[in-house]
Amino acid sequence: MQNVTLKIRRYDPEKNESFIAEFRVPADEHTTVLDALNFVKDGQDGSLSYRWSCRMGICGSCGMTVNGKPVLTCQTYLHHVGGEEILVEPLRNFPIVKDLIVDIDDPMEKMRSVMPYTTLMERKSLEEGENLQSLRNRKKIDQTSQCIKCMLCYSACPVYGFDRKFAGPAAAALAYRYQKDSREKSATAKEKRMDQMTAKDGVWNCSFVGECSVVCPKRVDPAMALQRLKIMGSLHIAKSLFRKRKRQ
Amino acid sequence: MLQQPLSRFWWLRNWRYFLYIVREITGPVIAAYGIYILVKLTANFLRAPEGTAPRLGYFSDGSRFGYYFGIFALIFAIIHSLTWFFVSGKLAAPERPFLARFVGVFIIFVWLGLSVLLLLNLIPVLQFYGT
Repeated sequence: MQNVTLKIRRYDPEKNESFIAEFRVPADEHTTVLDALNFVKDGQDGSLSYRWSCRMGICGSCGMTVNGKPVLTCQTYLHHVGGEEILVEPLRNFPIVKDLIVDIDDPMEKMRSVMPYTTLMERKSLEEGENLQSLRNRKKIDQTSQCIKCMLCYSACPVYGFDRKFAGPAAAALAYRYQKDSREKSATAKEKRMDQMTAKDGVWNCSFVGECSVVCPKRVDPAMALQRLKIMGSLHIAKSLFRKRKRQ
Repeated sequence: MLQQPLSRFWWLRNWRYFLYIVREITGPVIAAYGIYILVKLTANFLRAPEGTAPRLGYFSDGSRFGYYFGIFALIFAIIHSLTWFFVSGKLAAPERPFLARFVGVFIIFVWLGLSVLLLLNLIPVLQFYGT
């Protein structure tokens, strides 16, 4: 067991003050950054504020910046981070509410706006059974279905950091997932989703930095989804123009 | 709430961000080289004596600037192209990483092959360019 110094960038909203607080925590090869934060909160400073839930990398709540990298703290072992001093900061690119808690309303709203649900599935009676999907069609959406909305991708994206209107990686991955879902039978919903993605602050702002895919803990590869959406978006725009010309 | 604006030095945080900035800079450099070639070609075309076919060679005035600028732009073009060849593989075969890598490598081999054929003067384009 060794002792590690946790340097935490904190923010007090009542005093509008940002400062670094240092804590010594015992650590072995099984100690995660989240364990260390819980140790501090339980025994040293109960006012330390941060989000966490499942502690097993599935809820996406505990995203923070550790030694400059956006990570899930429940999946990040102290001995992997290395060094005797570890800097823990809130996720970048988001407004800080308090200490390590950031406001993620904006990307959540962006994800809501891409209609993240299937519409107009074939209506079947109970006797007729479920709306089935072949394994092949399921595989098309497997990767992008893994997103846990942890926001690490938004934190890593310099385009989003520069322009908060950008739709962003997770919203694009979600839109791609539902566009490719074979159970999505509504042409109107698909068009609306593509209109959303090909709008002014949609996928075109992505300049393929690629860091979103590097930091994603679930290997969703949102960068790939964004580039695929650009191709789909170009075809969508071309079709819309052709349809407009036909109507004229 | 405390806002966190993007730091001016975000591109120095890791080598991937830095490589991205290098890639972005290659664009304007290649564009500048393209403009330089167009200007040179136009000048050579206008300088050609009446009644003769204009030489399209852009190195024909022995310009050292053009020579080094060309090499500089070629390095940047290679960096830019390699990035996009690997992306092409991923876009052509999403969710199939082996095939994606194969497509990327295949495109690079085709590109290298064509480059070798051009350099060996086996493709007649080079006859238009002087040395």
